Amino acid sequence: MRTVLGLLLSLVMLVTIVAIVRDREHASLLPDARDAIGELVRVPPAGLVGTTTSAAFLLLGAWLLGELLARIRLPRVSGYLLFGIAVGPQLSAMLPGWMPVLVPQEQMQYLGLIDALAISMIALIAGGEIRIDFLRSIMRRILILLACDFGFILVGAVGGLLLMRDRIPFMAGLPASTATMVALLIGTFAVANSPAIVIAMVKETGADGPLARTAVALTIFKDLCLVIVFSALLAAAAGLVPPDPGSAAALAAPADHSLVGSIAWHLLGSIAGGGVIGLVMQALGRRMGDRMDVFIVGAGFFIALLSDALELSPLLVGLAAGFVQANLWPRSSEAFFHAIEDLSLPVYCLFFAVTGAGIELSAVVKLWPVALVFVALRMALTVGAIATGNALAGFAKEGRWLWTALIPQAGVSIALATEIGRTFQSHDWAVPLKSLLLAVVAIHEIIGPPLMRLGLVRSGELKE
Amino acid sequence: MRSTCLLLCASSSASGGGMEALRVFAAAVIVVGFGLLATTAVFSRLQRNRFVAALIAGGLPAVATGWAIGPGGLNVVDDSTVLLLRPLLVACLGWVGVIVGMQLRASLLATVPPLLWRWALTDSVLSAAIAGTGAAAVLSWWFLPGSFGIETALVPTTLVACAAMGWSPETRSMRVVLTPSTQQMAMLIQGASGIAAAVAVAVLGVAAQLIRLQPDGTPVLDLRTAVVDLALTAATAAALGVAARHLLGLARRKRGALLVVFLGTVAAAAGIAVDLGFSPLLLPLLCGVMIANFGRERLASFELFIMRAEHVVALLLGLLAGVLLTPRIGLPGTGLVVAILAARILVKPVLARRTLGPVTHGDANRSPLRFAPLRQSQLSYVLAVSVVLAYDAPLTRTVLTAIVFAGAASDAVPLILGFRRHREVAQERRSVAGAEA
Repeated sequence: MRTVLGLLLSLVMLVTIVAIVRDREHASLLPDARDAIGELVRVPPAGLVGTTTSAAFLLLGAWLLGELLARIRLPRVSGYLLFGIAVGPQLSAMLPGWMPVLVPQEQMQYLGLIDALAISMIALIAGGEIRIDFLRSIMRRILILLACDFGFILVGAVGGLLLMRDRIPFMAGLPASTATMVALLIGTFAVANSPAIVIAMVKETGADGPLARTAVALTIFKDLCLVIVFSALLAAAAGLVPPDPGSAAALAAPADHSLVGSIAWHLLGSIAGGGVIGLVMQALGRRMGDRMDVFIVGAGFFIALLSDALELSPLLVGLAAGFVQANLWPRSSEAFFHAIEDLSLPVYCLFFAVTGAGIELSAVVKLWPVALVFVALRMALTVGAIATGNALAGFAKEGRWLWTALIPQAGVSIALATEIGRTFQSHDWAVPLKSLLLAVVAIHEIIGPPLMRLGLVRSGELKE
Repeated sequence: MRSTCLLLCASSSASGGGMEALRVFAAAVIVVGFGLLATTAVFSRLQRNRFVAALIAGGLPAVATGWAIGPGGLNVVDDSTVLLLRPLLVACLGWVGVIVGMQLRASLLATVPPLLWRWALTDSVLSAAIAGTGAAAVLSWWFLPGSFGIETALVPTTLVACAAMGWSPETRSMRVVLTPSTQQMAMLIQGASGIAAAVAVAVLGVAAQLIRLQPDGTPVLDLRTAVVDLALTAATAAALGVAARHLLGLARRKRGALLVVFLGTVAAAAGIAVDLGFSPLLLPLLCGVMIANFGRERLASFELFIMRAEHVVALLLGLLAGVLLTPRIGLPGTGLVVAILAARILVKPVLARRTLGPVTHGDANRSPLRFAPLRQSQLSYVLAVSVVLAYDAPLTRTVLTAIVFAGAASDAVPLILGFRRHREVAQERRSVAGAEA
């Protein structure tokens, strides 16, 4: 009780300090400000100045709320996300006058830069979790589950959407080909889930067993397949539905061979690059001694910047780097993975709080009935897909609650929704579709972690 | 994987760039490589060598690398990259402030001999007076007609004055013979350097808070507002410090949670200071003082934990100082260099001799260690970077460059003296050995 009160008090104190600071914030300089020798002063862009405070605020606040929720047996990840939602720009925009602006909207783009670093570190942890012998033993299971998941959700979502097409405002009146393409894009979106949340949940709860390990491997492999399917679908959509000039689909449409090359580079380049980085990290990491944590942060930055520069996926690069180390040098890489687990807490806190702060709450408020139907449909299809897959793979008993790990959605799904909205922004259906998809992600972000925790408890891999 | 490859293709062609990508990549390789180099065991071993130790102590390799990759060199890190890294750099300044503040533990300060206080404080006052007067004279000549005033000159003048305070705590390169006397001298030099560093951070922090910038860039000195601001800084630092101690208790020595608390406190202290238009060093310094002095729990493991990244932070700030360099400083910049060097040459050796001489029974008069205080502390770059981050203009960049140049020059003289004494001692030993044979 004393600890809970202490946590609550700290949280209130933190919010109060930041609210006072935001109220008294120093006015930024005008762009034509000059110094005493008559030269122009370089003025930082709006939003950048307060980013350090916001990052610290999100980090500390998310940790405190996560600890509070852990006391009432809710996942810490939910605490991180909820704190982001509570102090993010969306809620203060919806409640003007009631809720102070604690994390302004213009800071979100700079806070988003933390994403790549966080994803690299999460991927390194995940890569270390995947052992080659385990992978070999469950490969058949993973392939069956993947096929069932993609098949059930794609067919179910597309079929359902086409059947109800006249009742969905933005789909009514669309030509059949366009409606099919929109339904396919939504279906692919419905398949997506969040490896980051799954990995964070497994690490946070310490769950260990066939369900937890299969969930991590399955979500990662699903992510790989999703890159290929979504990229191909977007290119096909560009052929059927005229895309906006300058959009990604428009740029890719004229030369299909470049699309294949891009996908190959994105996947194979990321895996090969990650493998090489894993080798280098192993060679250097041995000499780090007690400075391993500094080394890991440096490596995370390196993976994030390299991926950005070479158009690789930080998730795949990190995964491959972690996988290579854990499987080629299982003993000597132990110190590395031990140190990275210590570092993972601030990374998770900040990453999920920033994700929470970016949730489109206005979309949820506006579209919650339709979004809830969509969430229910996706959940039902996921339960069916996993039940079938489990039965075919002989995993029915242990994998009964596996579907709960496939409900959370986050970064990947937001990227897909944003890309659909951006590619077809001049079409009437694009904006409401994007809003609906973002509302669905928001609901999945909130209900996903507690549901997965419940699944882990019920499966007996996590003790209450 | 946040975005698809199509999205990436589009964004890359839209922003024009392969070259941009390569630029970022090269910068990442250099910066991360540099950071990694600093954490290797080979580097630790190299530091045992007095030549390498002397070179590294002033932070010049980091500054030189920063200049090489910055707009003055290869241009792989430009102003836009520095802007993007600004939140991280502000947090690094907070890190320095908190670490300096945490050294001011009451129980530790009570053990400092009066001699050391006298030395550090006399040095700070005299050095600041000489360098500050010189800087004020240069600025009055350099500023546009009618622009020179206490509002416009206070921060740059104080920055130059603070750069002249204290010295580098590195003594290995100057210790030619290891005797109890030289060891005692080294300890005194390091102790006084620590006190002077805290004084410099506090003085610059207070000076920066006396001045408020109007939206059009005009600095204004309003004492009433300044007093309120200082009180607000102290109150915020106290609140953050108390909160940090409480959170440390909640973290219960779990490494992950300790890291959250420390990173959060450091970034919050520096970030809040910048948001309110205050110095990004003073508030973290006061916060560090609060953490060190409030509560009964021992912080040894916590201190050890945060010290580990100390030199990586120093390297990052050194790199940044190099990136921000504007080597064409002209006559005004040269004047500032002369002001700093004059203060160092006129004050440091005399005070060192007067302080160390009686304690070491005259040994100080023969040891090159008496020249150790001539060398500028790496903290002076950090002070300059904090001013440039708060007010990035050609004026502040020139002052930063002058401080870096003065640091380079101040490093060279005692290094040469040290090596000369080293040669003399070697010669003496050879002749003694020859006589014995």
